[in-house]
Amino acid sequence: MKGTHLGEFEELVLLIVGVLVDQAYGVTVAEEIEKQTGRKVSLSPVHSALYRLEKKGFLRSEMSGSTQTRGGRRKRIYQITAAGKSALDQVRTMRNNLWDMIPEL
Amino acid sequence: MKNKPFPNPPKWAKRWLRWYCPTSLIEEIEGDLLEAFEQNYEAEGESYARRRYIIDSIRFFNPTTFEKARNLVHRPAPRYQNHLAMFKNYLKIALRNLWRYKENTAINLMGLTVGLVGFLLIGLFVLDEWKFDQYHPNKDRIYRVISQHTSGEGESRLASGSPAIGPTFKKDFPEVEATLRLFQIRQKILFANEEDSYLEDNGFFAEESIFELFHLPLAHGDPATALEKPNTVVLSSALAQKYFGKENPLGKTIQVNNNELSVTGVLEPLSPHFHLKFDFLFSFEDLLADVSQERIQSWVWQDFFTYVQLGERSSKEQFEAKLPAFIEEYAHPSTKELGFHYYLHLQPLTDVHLHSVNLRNDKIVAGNHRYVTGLAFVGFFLLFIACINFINLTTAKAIRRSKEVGIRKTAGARRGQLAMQFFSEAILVVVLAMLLAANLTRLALPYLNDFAGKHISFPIYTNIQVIGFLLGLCLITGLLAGAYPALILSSFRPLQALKNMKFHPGGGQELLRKSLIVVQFTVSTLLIICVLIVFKQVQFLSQQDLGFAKEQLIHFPMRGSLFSKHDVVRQEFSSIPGVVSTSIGFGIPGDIVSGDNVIVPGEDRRTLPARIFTIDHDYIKTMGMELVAGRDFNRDIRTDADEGFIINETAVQTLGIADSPQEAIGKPLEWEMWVQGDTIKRGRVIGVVKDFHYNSFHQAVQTSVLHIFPGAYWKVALRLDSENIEETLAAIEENWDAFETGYPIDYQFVDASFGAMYVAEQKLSRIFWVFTLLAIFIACMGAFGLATYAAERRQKEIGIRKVLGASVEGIVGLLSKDFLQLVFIALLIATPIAWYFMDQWLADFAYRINIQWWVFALAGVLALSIAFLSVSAQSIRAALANPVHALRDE
Repeated sequence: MKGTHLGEFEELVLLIVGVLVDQAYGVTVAEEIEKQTGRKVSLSPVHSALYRLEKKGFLRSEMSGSTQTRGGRRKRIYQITAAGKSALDQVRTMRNNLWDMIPEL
Repeated sequence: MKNKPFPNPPKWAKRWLRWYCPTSLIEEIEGDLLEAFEQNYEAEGESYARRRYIIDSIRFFNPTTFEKARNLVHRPAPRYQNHLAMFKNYLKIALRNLWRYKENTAINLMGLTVGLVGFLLIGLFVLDEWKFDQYHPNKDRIYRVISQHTSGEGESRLASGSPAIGPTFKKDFPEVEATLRLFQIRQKILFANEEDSYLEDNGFFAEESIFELFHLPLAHGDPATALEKPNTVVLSSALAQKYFGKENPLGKTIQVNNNELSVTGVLEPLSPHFHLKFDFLFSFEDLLADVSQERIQSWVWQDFFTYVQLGERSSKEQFEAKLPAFIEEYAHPSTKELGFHYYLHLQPLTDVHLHSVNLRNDKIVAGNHRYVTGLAFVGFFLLFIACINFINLTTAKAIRRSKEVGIRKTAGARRGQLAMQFFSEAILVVVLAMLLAANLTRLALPYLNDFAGKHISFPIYTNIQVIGFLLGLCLITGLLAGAYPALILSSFRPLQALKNMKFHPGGGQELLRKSLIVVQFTVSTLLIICVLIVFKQVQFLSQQDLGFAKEQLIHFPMRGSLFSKHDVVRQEFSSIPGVVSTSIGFGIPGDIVSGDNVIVPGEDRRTLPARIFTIDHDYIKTMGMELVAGRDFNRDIRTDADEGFIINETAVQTLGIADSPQEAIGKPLEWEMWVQGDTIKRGRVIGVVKDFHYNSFHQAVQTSVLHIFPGAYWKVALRLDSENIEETLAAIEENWDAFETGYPIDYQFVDASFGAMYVAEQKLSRIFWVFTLLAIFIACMGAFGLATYAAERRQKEIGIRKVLGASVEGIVGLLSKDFLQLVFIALLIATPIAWYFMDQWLADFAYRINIQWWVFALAGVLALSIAFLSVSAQSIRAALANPVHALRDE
């Protein structure tokens, strides 16, 4: 299916949105990536990935209420959709299958 | 942490971000950047944080950001923003508003309801009229042949024509597929079965093609052969029921004027939209048997209705073009001798009902296309005016909603949403009005059916088409009435609306409003004048002295043995206790009166037209007529019967025999007797009778001559006692039966036949009343609406005036003055129009009232007081209002 392919970075972002229930937005996702992988990521690619995932229907988003931090500005909170979950499942199944096919060394 | 003075990211980076970043994304991006900056500052220090911020703000400058912004704008509204919920809210607010301003709601509802009822009733009537003859399969190819006659006396158009037209058409023109001749039966015919006999008078001699041209299904019998043979009759379902009950009459015989006819068909009930109405059809063969061959081919005899069906390829115009030559060849040779020319025209079958108004000698169920089109306009006008009044009142009251509009707009409502809200409120009112109107129409429909002689039904709950139509009408009315207020209300600017600013429409709208009021009041005043004049005329007619006593007077035609036993007849009927007086003769007021000539002998022997009353000695007494000079016929003076004439007052003048009734006595008069040879009755005037009206007041009393002539005694007139009429009538019937004529008695009351002459006037009077009430009601609504509007709009002006010391009366006067001016203009317009039309109408009467000025004055006073009443409530309220309320916002 064209347009629903998951890139490596996208897969990572999608997984992290799934982990950060109701708390996933640009900054937290970038933070979590750094925490989990040690990779320093810039905000812009995270935003891009989030947007692409939303366009593919794996995520949905809404603007949430403002807080005292970040100058009172609202955040765009992302949530994983059912389609996003099943895409992750597919990737995992495929990986598992591949793992099973590797002969024991 | 919060207390520390917080460092800021570099200003130029911020500005840069704000410069390129689409506004729809700036919040989330800047928010994230700021949050990251704060965290980095805490963790790594200021310079690192600043560096990251700069890098990120540059890196966001990429295609994805812009693409995202574009898609965000066009993204469909999320599902949780529920339109249904908003609609529920609109409905709730609408109902609350309707409930809160009950007076306003009631007036709006009433106005629309009345408009809709008028529209629906008129619409039902008009549609029914348009349905006539639309159900015949070949309706577009069938025409009635009508003839146009020109002679020395002028031109006339006849619905009927010669009996030769049909057969000759068929012989000469191949495009004629079928023709039909109908001959109306003009006298009463006695139908009898074993037990009962009745007089019937509503039938035709018809050719068998009647079943081919018209959709005329038979309940029993075969249309192909039903009228083929002589001595056959086709009965209507009602007549079959009357003579044969529930049995199938097919093949049975029925006595018709002493002939035995066999019933060959029974019709299904005739369609209410058929232009012909009849109870029986005789075979045309019977007519042919009775009439000589020569007469049936005559082009002079003009009593036949002819229909033709043309072939599919030929057109009316083509065929009509051939007719002048046709007439020239066949008809003119014989008709020119008699001094008349004529031409034939084709009248489409579907036009017969509505477009036969000016045709003489017609026998159809006739309508009038002018009335129907006029009514259709009136119907739309009513609805339109009702919508206008709704608009006026709603926009006038719009100010009440301005705060709501302000709040809604401030809270983010778009104009379209607001327009939709107010529009659905209008639709709600219209739907309520429609529910009321449809039910009221159903209630009123029996009266309409009774009045118009129709059988219209209006199944508003069961017929899907009717329901669809009503819903459509709701939508259209809602659009007409609701669109403008919705636009006005939704256009309020929030700030002004909240500050209670007034809405001022342009001058053009003001003029439009005023002209509409003038139109409404013109129509009302016009109708008030018409009602007054029609009422006065009808009153005048009923109070007019007829010159004889029409009450308790009956007459009936003689039959059989009665003709030869005049004395016995007199004796028998006079012996009944309830019969005051008996007379035998011909020429009873309200019945047929013969016209002939009388001769005034002398040097300049003159022959003059006159109404001839052939009477006996008891006629003047029985009729209750009054002699102004001379004496009545006297049985003891033998010469009276052979030489006496009584004339009326008019005859004294028109015959030119004397200057006064007294002088006329003894003057000679002659009359050509209705007998073989040139016998002349010579006599003298023995009495002058006061003018009596033998006809309706549409016609003037003419020269009338009364004399004794037993050769033309065809009717019996009886003056009855006012007590025990029922018993007397029963006794009369018994005596009639004793004569064994074989016919039932067929008596008429004279006052009933006079009443029947004014049915049209009474109907007109009734319909004028209805329309007047409707028009006044609607005009009141209009005035009320405009007054409300003016009072709202001038609230501040009134406030200031009051503060400066204006009196309540002064302000009421100020507000009412505008309207009274408009009504006055309406009066000026209505007066000449009403005068013209009513003068035309009165011209139909030989005896009429003159239109007097006070009628117009009274109508004017009525219109002004109606206007004042509907306006004053609003004006007084406005004048009494506390100026503080109007001015507190200044």
